[in-house]
Amino acid sequence: MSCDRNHEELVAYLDGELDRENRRQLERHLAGCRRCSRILDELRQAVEASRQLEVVEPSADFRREFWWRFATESRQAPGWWAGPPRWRWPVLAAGGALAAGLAVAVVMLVSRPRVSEADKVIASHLELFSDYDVIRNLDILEDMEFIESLDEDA
Amino acid sequence: MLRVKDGDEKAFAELFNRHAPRLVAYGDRFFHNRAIAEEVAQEVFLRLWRARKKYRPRARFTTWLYTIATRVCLNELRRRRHRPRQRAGGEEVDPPDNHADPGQVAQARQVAERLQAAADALPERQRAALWLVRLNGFSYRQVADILGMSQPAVKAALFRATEAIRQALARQDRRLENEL
Repeated sequence: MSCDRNHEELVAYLDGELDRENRRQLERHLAGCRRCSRILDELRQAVEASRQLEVVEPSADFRREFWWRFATESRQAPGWWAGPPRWRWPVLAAGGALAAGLAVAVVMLVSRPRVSEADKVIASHLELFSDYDVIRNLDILEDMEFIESLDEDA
Repeated sequence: MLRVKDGDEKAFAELFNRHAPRLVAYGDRFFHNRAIAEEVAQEVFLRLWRARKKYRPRARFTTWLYTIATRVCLNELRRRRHRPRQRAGGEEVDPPDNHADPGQVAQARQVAERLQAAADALPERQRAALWLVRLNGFSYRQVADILGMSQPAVKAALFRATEAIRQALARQDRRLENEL
């Protein structure tokens, strides 16, 4: 007896995916159809073989490597930092400027130079002294401006 | 997963310990190389952490995890154009059983190689559906959600994949009969 039954049902049956009614119908058919029974047996072997294929276990280093990657990524991109790149540079620039300013202030306070009275005199008359060619061509004027500012602080 | 969504790293570690080993096995079905499968599984969990805030409780966690995993595996597969016929050299994952009959061991290995070759020749989605059901025990409905397919399409994919394996094993049986 020939049978043109769709064998999709057989695989779904083996996978336990047929509802009760369809399962009963199929089992009644299988009881009287040698061809479908034979194909079902072969499909069952294929299903069992695919289920029993060896399953690899992770290596001993797998977990350690993952947490290393996780920690590395977390350090590089914590929370708010993971936003779009266009937000990063202004934040970086502002932070850098603030840090640089603080560093300069600290250095200035720690290494505040001793200012002689002569220096103070020159500083208080910068306009006058800058008229002299010998001074105008020296970087010393910048130093004098600094001294003047110290004097004002005092 | 709800704790992970709130940034709980301890809960994330629990999820990783519970699901990552199976994810390595799933990746190995595509690459037949444990090192690559491990790298892919790690990448999946890193992506999961990055995307944790997008998780919606109505989606089952494993469905969400394997949706990401399947995408990463298939992308990596395309990138590598990797269709090996056998396990990478020197990688002994399944130690031989000293009590088993060598003839049976050799025959079982041949069956496994034939089966893997048949599975590797399948279209990507059929292949993914095959291992989601046969390795991980997902229902057709879950596979439909993971692969973005209808349930009838999953049913058809599973039939074609199983039929390909059936034919591959039948060819091998005929060859063995001819050798005897």
